[in-house]
Amino acid sequence: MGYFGDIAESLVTAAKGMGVTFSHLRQKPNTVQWPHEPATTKPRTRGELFNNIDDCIGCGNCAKVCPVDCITIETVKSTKSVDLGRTSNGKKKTLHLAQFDIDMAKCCYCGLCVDVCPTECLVMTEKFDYSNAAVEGLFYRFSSMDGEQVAAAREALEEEKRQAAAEKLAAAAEAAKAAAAKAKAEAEEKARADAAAQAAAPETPAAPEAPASPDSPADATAQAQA
Amino acid sequence: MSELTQIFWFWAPFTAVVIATVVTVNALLSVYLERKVSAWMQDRLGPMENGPQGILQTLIDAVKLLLKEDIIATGIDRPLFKLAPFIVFSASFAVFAVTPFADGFAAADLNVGIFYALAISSLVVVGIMMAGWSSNNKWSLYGAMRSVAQAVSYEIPISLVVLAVVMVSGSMSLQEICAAQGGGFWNWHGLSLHHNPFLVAGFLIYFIAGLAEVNRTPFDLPEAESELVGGYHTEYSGMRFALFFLAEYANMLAVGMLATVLFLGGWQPLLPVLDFVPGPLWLFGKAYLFVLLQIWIRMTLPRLRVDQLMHVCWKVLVPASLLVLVLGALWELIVR
Repeated sequence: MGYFGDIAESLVTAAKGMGVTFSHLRQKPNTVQWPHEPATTKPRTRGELFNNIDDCIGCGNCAKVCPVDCITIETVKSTKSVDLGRTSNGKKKTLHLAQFDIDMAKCCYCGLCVDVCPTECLVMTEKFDYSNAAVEGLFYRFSSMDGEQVAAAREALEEEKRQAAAEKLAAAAEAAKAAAAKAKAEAEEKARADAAAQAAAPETPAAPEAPASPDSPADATAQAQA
Repeated sequence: MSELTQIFWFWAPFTAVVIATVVTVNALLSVYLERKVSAWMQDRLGPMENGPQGILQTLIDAVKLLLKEDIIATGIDRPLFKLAPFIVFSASFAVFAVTPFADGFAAADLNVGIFYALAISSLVVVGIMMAGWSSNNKWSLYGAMRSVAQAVSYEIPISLVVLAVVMVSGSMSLQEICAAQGGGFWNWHGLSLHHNPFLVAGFLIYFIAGLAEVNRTPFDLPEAESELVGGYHTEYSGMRFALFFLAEYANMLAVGMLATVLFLGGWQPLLPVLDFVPGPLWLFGKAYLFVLLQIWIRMTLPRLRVDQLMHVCWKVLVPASLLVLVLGALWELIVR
């Protein structure tokens, strides 16, 4: 470039740059005078989180994917007798949402929880002006159940579990009884066959008794039932 | 002579008060102007909340600065630290003593006016050095060192170009330099091709060096926010910081006013028929054009490196101003 070329270039480029800034001087500002006028948000703005609890199946994907652990979910399985209905996109709901808390003070607005939500009930709204003087005010509880309802759901689940266990035990006892009867029948059959064989060949030793092992647990369970 | 001196001593306090008011109002106005214009150039709105279009913002900021705690850190050189802002402010304030506001209207019409202005504005460097050194802080010291190196270097092209102007107008008095440019804008030193065309180049040199002299972008290395926090005034707060700020904007206006007086006719109207508009309006109007130009440049150009800064001064502006001086003198000898 050389000495004079550099000087000329510096003047020309400076003039060019000043032309650019001057063209912006005449442009309309992009600033919005919020809150005096409504703010305009772009599509897919990541603002405040909102969970439409009616559509939530409690899968817990959002809580798992959250990098800052700001979502806390606690679910209670529903009993067979209760029909929680279906979500708006047709998924069957099987879990009571005892707790669905989002701590917006922790949220980093990555939007991962929204991406993984299978029912699209968790969304980032375009609302951004929800600042709060108290940090507790940023702790959102979305669960529609109160403590009593949660306790009742838990109790129902426990009850169902107990019943299921009892039914299982009864079924087991039933099965054991059947097995014992079958074994007994078989033993008798064998004894008869043995007796016949003995009659045919008297020098063979006596047939062994029917095995005691299948009998005893069945007896024990029967006693327990009583 | 004795009568004139008496008049001067009688009026001096009043003119001082008037000029102090002008300088303060100028700072408020320039800060507002700078914030607004830079905002517009960046497609923003700038201050909008206080008063219509945010006009009261700088006033409120000034009140806030007055109410702030005057923090004096431990481990600093207290006397120097406390004195520095006053030296910087009074030096930049004193330049206005010789500013010719209109024909025959100046606080002091010295016969060595421009010499006085250059000399007294160099005192700013002393105050800046004091501030940087006494702060006992590497950023402040770096800023002060850069500022001193810059101001001392750039005084040379300024002085040489001013010498060319003095040569053409035949006087060092600012009033007479203004008077020599009467009769329309084509007679102003910075625009006249028939008087002495080399002064047009001198005008450009003066403006560039003037930017460096008052530490404006692209020569704002002494207070480079991104590298030096705030430069020499990093440790200052409250009123002392406000004084630095005031001095900075007074300097901006002073450079604009000197450029106006030396190259754009000072209080001379654009055309002789516009004579009815008072001189101060012309002077301030033209000076504010320079302030606007400084803001415009600040929004456009990035900061120079220290070596680039020295390169521009010693290898470009000093030879160019020498050429302006010599060729201008030859022109005066041969052509006129």
